[in-house]
Amino acid sequence: MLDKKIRQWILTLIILVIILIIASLSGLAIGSTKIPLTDIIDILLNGKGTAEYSILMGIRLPRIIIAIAIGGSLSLAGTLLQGMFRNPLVEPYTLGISGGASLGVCLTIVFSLHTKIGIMAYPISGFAGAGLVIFMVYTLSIRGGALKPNTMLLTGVMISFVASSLVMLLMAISKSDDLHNIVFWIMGSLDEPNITLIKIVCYGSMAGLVISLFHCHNLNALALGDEQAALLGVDTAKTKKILFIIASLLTGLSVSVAGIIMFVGLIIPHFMRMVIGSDHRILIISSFLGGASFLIMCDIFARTVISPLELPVGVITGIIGGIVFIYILGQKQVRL
Amino acid sequence: MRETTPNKTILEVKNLSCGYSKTNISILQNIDFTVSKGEMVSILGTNGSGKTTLLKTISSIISPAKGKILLQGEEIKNISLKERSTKTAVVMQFQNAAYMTVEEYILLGRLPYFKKFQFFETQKDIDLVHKYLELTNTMELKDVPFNEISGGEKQLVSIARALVQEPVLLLLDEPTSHLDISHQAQILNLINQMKEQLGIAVLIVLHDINLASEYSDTLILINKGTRTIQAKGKPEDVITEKLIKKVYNTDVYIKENPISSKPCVFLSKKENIVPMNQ
Repeated sequence: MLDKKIRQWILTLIILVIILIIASLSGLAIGSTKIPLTDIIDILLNGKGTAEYSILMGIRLPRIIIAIAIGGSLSLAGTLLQGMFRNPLVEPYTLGISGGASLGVCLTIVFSLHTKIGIMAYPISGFAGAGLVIFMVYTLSIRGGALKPNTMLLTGVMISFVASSLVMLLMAISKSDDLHNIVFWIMGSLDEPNITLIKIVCYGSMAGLVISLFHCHNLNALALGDEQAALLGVDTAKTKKILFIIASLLTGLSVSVAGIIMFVGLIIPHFMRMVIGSDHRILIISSFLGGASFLIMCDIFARTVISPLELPVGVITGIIGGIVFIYILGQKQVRL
Repeated sequence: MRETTPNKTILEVKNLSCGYSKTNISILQNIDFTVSKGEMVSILGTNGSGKTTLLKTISSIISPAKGKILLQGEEIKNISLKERSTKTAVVMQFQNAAYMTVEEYILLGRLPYFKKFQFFETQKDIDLVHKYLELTNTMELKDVPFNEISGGEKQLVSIARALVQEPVLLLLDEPTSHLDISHQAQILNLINQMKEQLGIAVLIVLHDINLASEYSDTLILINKGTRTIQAKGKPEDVITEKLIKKVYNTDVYIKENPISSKPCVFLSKKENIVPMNQ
């Protein structure tokens, strides 16, 4: 049984990595300037100085790296939140965590915090906003010692509304320079010129993935409820604290770099659970890989569908995610 | 009859008061009893008398307000969470397990034995899971999602999960409620077999007095009015018309089961019904 399971898991991982490689190569090749797949390696090795080389290295490759880190992060954050809350509908966006992070980043833009403490101001404020919202949603949804899923989702949606209203308020009172920055960033794009931010989001997502993997058994136990998990020897309070921090870190980093990209954390974990089952040992890593490929493909679509204009990638994920949300809501296992 | 000398004592409850801390009222007070190796002790009492609260306190879900709980002579609050879960296994009334299959669910019972950084289960873990899938007659359910099996099957599978924990003490909260008699018999016979063969100490909350009488070595009868133990001892000492009347405030007739010679409780319809209109 174990051998069969390991074989199945390895096969899944190989397939997901192949999909990721195909998606990445397509991302390199497809765009307003088409670069044939066969030429890519040649250009990367020998084409220094050519226009194609700077398109690949300066624009497309960083974009793919960001898509991998952010798609993986958001999908992983969704998996962790769904595991902790035992609810397939929660994810960074539906719980208002993305909204909190975006409010944090807007405050940074308006109060020019980045000029005082450097570029790190964006991820830090995103993380702080995300963490604050998770804490609020969690404490507000506990009634009489039990977590009420419907209260939690509604609280999350309301916090999202409040956060976006506050963002609009900030936009209304801000200077036109800041306004441009906020609008540009809120649209949600994987275009990020700052190499430090790219590095931070990459390291952050990798750290989140590794730490989550250490908690995969605890997440499996939490599926039975907090009491039962504790009876199986899991320190539930500590585990939840760590996972809360990781989920806000992943969301905060993603939002500070790419704005709000909705529903990646809903679509991918749901799809992966259907394919590979609910064991977090494989679910965590396959959600990460799946989320990475998914966001690259959405980005290719967003870049090309009304070329030469670009759609914000959040538009694509929002449409797909909204439909998937309604579909999951109709499933018989989902009780609100 | 199995001997119950003090050195075989698994669980010792001393002068325990328990209740939910928020209400600040002890539901139960001055609770004293022991459970020995290979002994099955049943807790009986009316609805709301605190049977489940007592079980939750002993399984450390709720902290006791007063008194001590000793597991194999060591105070339970001093035993680490992980070690405790290799010694006690608990089957609560309502089980939920999201999307996992029955086999994955039972395998979680081996979690307390996983070493730090252990990623995969060992062959021993898998063998134990299969052994209890077979013992509980649930082998054919192993790949079915837990949430799609029936109530009786959920109970059986939950007991299998508790047994793969290889506990010395098994705590069960009404494992037979809402089940038909075939499932009731299957579950209690399984527990009886485990206690006989493996010497597991069993503490069980039961609603059905006759089932408790038939299967238990010792009964504990809780009185909701006095919030403490009304009587404890062998079934024939506890199940008397006087004690049952006192605790349940109901008239019953008690006869001996002709086969097991355990006491058996009968209700009877009231003969002298007062007309409603008078």
